[in-house]
Amino acid sequence: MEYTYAIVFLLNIPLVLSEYICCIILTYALIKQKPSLKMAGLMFIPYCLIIVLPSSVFFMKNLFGNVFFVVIVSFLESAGWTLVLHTAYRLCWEKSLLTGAMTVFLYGTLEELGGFFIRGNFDLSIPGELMMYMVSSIAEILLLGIIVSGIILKLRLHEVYNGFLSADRKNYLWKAVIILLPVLKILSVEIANERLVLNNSNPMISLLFLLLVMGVLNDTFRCGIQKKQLQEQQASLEQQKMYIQSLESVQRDVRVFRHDFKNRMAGIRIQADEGDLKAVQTFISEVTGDFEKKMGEKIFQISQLGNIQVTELKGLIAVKVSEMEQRGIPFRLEAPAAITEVDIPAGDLCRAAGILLDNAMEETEAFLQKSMESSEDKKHCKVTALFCGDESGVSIIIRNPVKEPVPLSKIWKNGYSTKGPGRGIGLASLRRIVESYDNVSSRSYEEDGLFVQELNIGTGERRI
Amino acid sequence: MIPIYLCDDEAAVRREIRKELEKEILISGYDMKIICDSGSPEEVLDAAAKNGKRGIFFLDVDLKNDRYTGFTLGQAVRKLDPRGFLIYVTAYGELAFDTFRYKLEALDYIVKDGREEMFRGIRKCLEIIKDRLKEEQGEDGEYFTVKFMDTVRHIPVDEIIYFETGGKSHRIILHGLKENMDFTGSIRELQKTMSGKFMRVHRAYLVNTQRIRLLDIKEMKIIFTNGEECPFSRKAKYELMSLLNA
Repeated sequence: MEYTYAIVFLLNIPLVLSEYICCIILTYALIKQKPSLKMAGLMFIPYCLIIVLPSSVFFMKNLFGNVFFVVIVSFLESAGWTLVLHTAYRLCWEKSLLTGAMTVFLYGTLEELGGFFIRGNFDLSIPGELMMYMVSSIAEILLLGIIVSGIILKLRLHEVYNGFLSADRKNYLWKAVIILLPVLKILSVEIANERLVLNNSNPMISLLFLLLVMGVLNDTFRCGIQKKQLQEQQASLEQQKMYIQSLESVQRDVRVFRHDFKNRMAGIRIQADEGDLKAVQTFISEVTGDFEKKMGEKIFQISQLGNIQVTELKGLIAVKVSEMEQRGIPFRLEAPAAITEVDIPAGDLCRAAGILLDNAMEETEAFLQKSMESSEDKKHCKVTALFCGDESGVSIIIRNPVKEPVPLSKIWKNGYSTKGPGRGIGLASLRRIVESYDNVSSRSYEEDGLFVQELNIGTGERRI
Repeated sequence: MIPIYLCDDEAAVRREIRKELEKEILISGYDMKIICDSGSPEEVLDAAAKNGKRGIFFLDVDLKNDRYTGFTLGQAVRKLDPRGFLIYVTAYGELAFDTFRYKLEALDYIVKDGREEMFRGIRKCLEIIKDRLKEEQGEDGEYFTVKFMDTVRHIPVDEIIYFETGGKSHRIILHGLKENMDFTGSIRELQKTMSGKFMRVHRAYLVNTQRIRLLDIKEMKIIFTNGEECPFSRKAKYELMSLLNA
């Protein structure tokens, strides 16, 4: 068939329309914005003209063999989309330019991805092939556009991109790179295709591959490391928060005590002046007893927590302490000697201790609710956690009150829980952890209405 | 006669405790005697090693000693005298006593703030010890010991229901009347050391025959006196049946 300017122009309109829609999809993935429909419809006309007119001319003059003209068209595409972004999306010029270039780069890339599915070039002079070319191009562009957008959203790349857009730093270099991306892509394809093909090797592809691997490695591992650091920081923050809270509450108590103390001092001075030794003696013992009762326990707890020097474990306990405070569960922590290292991986250690503490908390909470009336029960009603370390190993002992006898052998079986089916996973994974290390032994028993779970972790070579 | 040992830095405190102890022994007619009273942990350990009998130890928590703290002295005593009675003496109530209790099986602690309170504590401890000893006379005294880390556990053999091998090799789970525990060990070794009262009824189970209530022949399982169950193998069936019929 014979091509005239008019036919070429008309044939290009559906192709450009599909490109337009694809750009809208990609832009949505990048900046999560939709254009106003009216403006988008209106802007299609100038967009179409900017791109189709010159490319029709280039096509008719058979200039697309020269990479220079391909670059010009890509610039026109960028310019066109920048214009749309500025008008239909109301972005500022700088963001429009950047996002325009980025979108065109993505579009150009995914357009070429279609090459994976096509066996040869179409002969556009045969109407049937032309038809095939048009339909497959449009379908492929739209389909890939949706897939790539999905990937961008899924990997949260749009967050990275928006972070870059709204960064305070100027990032001129990177902005220049982004604006030049479409051109760079075309040029590297050109180099890869035409210029530097040697025997079995293509430096451009190798270079790109190297960059790709570098990027992926950097991203994946850096992300992992950052995540871990973040978690650690979170834990230590939590721990510090709780530490400060307990110090503050001690301070509050001291203030109250001081107030009381001054009043009582005034009273006792008169009796001392009168020589009433007996009264002074009772006063002293009362005051020391009071101080012990009000502040001794808190000061004690803080010093005990300070003895646990395995960061992960300390963080876990700090979190549990504040959780118990919130839920109104009394707690006593003992760690008379410093614990500096435990001979199983910290993750498993924390999981095991966490399971034990969680169970004790739940049981104690239930116990508290049941024994609202009798105050006698309440005295023993608390979670006790002992962490005892010496050169032979570390023992963790967690104790809580129980109303009914614990079915000992059942809780050691898989998936059993006193709370019904589907709940016993904690205890089962505890058993799994215990059994996977030779240097770990455990024990659970009941004594005077208290349920005690004990975990002993010996020092020794780790064997799994 | 049960030996009593005293270890405290302050001679004055020792004197007070000693006086009260002697008085109480005399009044209540306990079969006990103070055989060592010293500020040096080494001396106390030597005396305990020489005597060798199960003793009562009054130990200071805050020893001013380079080698021992109250806790490590307790550990050393436990090695010599696994079943002795440990009582801690402390200047203040701020004490991680639960740790002492669970790790050392310490009996109690006495606060040496007020004299009257301290004396009351001492009297109470002696009474508890007397009752404990009386209770234990009835028991036949056979114990199964498990050593783990620095702690040795004594479990009355009668209170063991059965041993089970765990999911991993060399893992033993002990099912007791009052407790469950697991440790590293071999069931074949256990079978050797526990022969007599215990029987290997299955590749994975070693059971206390005196704790069997009945056999469920159809289901091939043993039901124990406390309601627990475990399977038995075909091989063990006749042996079990003849044992129970006898």
